[in-house]
Amino acid sequence: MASESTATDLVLGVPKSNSDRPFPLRATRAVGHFMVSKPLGGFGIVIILIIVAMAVFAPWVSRYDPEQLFSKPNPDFRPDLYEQSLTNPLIKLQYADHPEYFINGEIARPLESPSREHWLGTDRFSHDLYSRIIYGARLSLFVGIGASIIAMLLGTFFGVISGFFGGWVDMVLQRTTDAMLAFPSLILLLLFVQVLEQPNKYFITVALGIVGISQVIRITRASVLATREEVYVLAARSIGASNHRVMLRHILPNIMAPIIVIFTITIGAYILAEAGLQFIGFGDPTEISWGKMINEGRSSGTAKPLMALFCGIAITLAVLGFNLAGDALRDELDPRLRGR
Amino acid sequence: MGCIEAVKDSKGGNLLMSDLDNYWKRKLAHQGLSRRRVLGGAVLGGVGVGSLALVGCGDDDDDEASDATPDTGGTVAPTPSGSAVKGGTARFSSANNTWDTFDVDRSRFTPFAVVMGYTNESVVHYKSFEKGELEGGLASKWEQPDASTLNITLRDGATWHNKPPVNGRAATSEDIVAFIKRNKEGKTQDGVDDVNFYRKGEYANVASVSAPDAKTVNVKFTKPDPFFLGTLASGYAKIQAPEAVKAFEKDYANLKADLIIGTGAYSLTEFKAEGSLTFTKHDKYPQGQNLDKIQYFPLFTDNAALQAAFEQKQIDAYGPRTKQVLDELLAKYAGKITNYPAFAANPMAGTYYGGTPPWNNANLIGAIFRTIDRRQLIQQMFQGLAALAGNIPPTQAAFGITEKELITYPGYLEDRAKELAEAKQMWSAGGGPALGDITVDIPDIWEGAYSGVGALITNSMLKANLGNNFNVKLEPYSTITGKLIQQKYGNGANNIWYGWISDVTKLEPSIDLYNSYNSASPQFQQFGVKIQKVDDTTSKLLTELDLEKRKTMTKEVEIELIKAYGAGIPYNMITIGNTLVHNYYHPTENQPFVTAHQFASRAYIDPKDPTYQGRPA
Amino acid sequence: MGTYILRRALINIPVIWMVATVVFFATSVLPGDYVAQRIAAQNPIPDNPELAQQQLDAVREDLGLDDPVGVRYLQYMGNLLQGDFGTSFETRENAIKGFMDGFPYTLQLGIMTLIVATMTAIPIGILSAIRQDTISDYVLRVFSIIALAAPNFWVATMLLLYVIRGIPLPFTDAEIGWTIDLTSQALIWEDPITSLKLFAIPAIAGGIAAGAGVMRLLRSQMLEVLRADYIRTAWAKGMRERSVVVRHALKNAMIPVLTVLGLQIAGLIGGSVVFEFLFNIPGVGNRILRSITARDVPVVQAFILVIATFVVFVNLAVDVAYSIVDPRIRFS
Repeated sequence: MASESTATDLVLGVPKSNSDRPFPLRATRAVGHFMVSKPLGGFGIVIILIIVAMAVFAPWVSRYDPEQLFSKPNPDFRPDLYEQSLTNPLIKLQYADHPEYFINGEIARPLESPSREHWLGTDRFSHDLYSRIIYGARLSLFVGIGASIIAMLLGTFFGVISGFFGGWVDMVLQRTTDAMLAFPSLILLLLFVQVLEQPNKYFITVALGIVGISQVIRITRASVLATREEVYVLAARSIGASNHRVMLRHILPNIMAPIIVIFTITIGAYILAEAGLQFIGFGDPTEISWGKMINEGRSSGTAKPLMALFCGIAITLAVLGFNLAGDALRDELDPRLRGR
Repeated sequence: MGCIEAVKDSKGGNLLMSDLDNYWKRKLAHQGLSRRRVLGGAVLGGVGVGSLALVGCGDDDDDEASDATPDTGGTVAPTPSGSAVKGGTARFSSANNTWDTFDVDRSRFTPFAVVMGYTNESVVHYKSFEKGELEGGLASKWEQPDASTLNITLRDGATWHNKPPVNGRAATSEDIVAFIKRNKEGKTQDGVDDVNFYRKGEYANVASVSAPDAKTVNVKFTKPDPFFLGTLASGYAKIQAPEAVKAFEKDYANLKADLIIGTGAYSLTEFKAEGSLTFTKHDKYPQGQNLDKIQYFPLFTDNAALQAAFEQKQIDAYGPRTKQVLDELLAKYAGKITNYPAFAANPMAGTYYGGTPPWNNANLIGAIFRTIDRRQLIQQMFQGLAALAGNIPPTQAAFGITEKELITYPGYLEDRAKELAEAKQMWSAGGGPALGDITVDIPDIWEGAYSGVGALITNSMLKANLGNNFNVKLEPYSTITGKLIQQKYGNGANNIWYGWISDVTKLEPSIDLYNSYNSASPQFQQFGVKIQKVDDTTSKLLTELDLEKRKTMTKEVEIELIKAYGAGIPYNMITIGNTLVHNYYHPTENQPFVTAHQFASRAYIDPKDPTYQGRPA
Repeated sequence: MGTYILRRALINIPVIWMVATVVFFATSVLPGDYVAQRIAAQNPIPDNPELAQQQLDAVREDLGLDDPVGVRYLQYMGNLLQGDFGTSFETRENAIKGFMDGFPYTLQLGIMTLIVATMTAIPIGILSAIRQDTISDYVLRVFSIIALAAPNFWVATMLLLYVIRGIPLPFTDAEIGWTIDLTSQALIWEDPITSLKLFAIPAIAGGIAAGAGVMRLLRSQMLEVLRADYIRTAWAKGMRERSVVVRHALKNAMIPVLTVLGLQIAGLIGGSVVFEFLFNIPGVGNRILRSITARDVPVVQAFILVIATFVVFVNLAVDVAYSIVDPRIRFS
């Protein structure tokens, strides 16, 4: 501690409170306390940090270029059959169970099991699966966090306006929200995605964010309704604060808690939604996506389940991390839920 | 699973003919139902075969699904009738088929042609598509006293199904006459020309047709026609009863089972557009059939469910999507299931418009043509289950050059290093780097069936080697077709596309070669690559009566096309599909709609086979 | 209360109208319309461009797609008011028929999922709350979150394939597995055993995942309630834990949970698209997905309209029920 503050403490005889300490220190202490008191939440945060690190440091963490195709020499090549097939295509049909007889040169290595060369094995197109999972984190985080931010920003905006002003503004916004909620969300997403021909990741993120707005609006509005009647708000108004100022300075800070919680928890939902869209076939075809990889792996069914399994675990862990962290955050921020 | 000398064929089973129909379903289902095609015929018997069709060949294109339930294709030596067992219901899953109409003369959707193969008969049909052998359908014999006359003798005992208004009467030669006349005129009853008579052009040479007595039909041509018998043998050349046509002409679009009345082995007793069909045997079918019923269940939306249903014997056939699944099933059920591999119906290729820049520059299009690593694609996308294809794919092998010769041409070379080095040179020589970004359209269902193929072609192959940004754009087939018609793949746009192209529906490529590559043909406008030698040879093809000479000519044409980097249609490959069948089910050669009649009448189920245990009743 | 209900019900009507309009215009904008797809499907390289164009125009006229959008919209609205939902392009039947055919399946799956969800969520939620921050709390929470975090389409595929073959139990000779009839698509009143065998896996997989959300809500509600004064009084009186929990805490904690369950019922009508798809169950979700991809516009419009109507009225019912059950809530 800086010496003058210590001196002041002793002089005044008042111990320094936590609020006086510099922000970074407070933050670290808060996080540390959080991780100890809520170990599950701490676990969640650790997972999140790992995944974020994977995404940010992908070129260094991954082992190979994710687009690199691997092959190996083909020991089963049968030159005699190959020669025959050059003049008689029917031979290939006869040996349809063994197409490797006809491949002269290197052969692809799809869906191999984990090995020293490929820690998680290879994927359906002979890429290194480990590297692709690392890079896949980028898309999942982009879509998950991006959609959540969009939903949070727009939802808070409309929710605050709706709750604060009331009257017909509220009614119109609420009924529009109802209309949006009335669509089953998957259908809404599908329509969105279909309307624009080329689903790239930006578009999907925005679409997901918009679909999720209604939930944020509801929660924000409910909090605003409660906060609106608080004494300090009335006090602020009585001294002539403008609506704008009241909303920003007084209401918003007090409703942040549930919003932050929703933000964290829905990230997981958006990651799953993007994977779901890929499963159905609507998604960016060239991005490396965990959802797309699960689908590719799923096509080999029980024969080679590892690719889908590893990608499934990746998604599960990511969603798990965000959910655990969000849950613990909610427990922490809501004073009624602290432990006995 | 070694095959016997003839290629074993997949058994028919799914009404998946037109996979393209369901292509968008594929997006969901990833269910390729492919129509396998048997390796193209060797000898075409009779007086020339094939069809002279200058307008609207009436094809349906199937798109072949990469996986699936395919059915047929391949050839299987038909089982000797002695061992066939009568009775039983065969069960298959149906694709999400599309139906345009129940009037076969005005239809061009393959699933309907398949249905027709069970219910109606053609004058002649293929006994073996692989061998190109014809046999009589409604005809018991036919002969050509001279090159411009054809006499057809009606088969004894041919009877219509017992449905109003035909009510089970005997078939007569007048029925055949009415059929030929209707197709030739291409008009509905009120005398109005209807564009939907797609095959009208194939009957253009008919001067007159008459029925001297109840069992004979007499056809006279304006000039010798090498392809007419092939027309009569085609999947859509099915005879309908004239009174039925008269009664139902306005109703055909309503797709009801009662509208289909034929003389064939089975009668359609139940039909629902979403895919449930039931065929019940027709007692008065002279050639006889084995199965009592054929049943199609509506679409299985997901391939895993289809596999599960097959493993539990709820359906009798299944085409695995990937080699891994094929291997697993063959290992798990060794001795209990049989695999019938066959070539698919739709080749994989691309198209472009080569009449104006940028793709009229041989260096540019050649560089792309050569950079795409076909063998790599075969390995990655199909785990090796495909064969290289030039402009005449292996399914028409009798008319095309051998692979041995094919691999001496750029684009198909075995020496990839050389291929790539030269391609890069061509690219810079043609000013490729200056082109900037290039868009590669990929059909959405193609990407759906082979997830990742778009990225594979553009990132790993084109971009990595040529340097420019090649961007994938997923489009529905309708958009691609639209752009094709408007020459938008090229013609100033840095655009090209790859995917499934029209399926191979004929034994002989002559007509299609003319239509696609001859500058006098309307279809040529989509490709626009004029080669004088191709023009001359394809024009001669249409009137050449000698089969061997035609084969020589088609090979010459193919070589010119490959040297011109596809001349608008750069071919990649044709896949091999596998169909797994439980041993109790004995299929026949099944060339989708062309020999569907065979499947219907010769396939059978053997309840005494040990694998029959556990099959749901 | 009565006026409130009436007002909300009346306002729902413009909401539904808004939904119908949005859907109408959204589906008109879908790239690659039905007709073009059908024709193109059959022939990606058309033999004759003019013929193809003629064909396209003829079919469009036949299906009524050649009028300008505005005109079609008015026709559509007019038909709706008379109860005509339009004709499906694919099946040529009434567009709403697919919904009626599919609804029993979706209903059955939804109810079974809800049962599983409730049966897992309530015990776990309660247990987790009263044993807050203990090992069992952690284990239960992690387990339930994993259930909802795992991509359901993959879990379902694996379960399907393994169950039909039989999953061997470790250390024993026994197997868990049963035959699943995927072709007959039986409903529970048609063939109970077969139907249950088919619906079991999606119901369990979906139910546990859905239950996870409910469980967390219940847990936090229970935690809140357990700190209330009247609970302390009950403890102080010496009541046993079970009575405290069940008789006092649970009832009060359930209120918002019932709301959420009610909303899940509203979601039920849309169907679980993924499971219906994977198990070949011809329910509402499956059909609407197919119709969207096939661009069968009248069917899409009809389905969405019905679903939207159902959802807004169920929401209304839930809000009303909530206010009845909890006397503290009143509406302005």
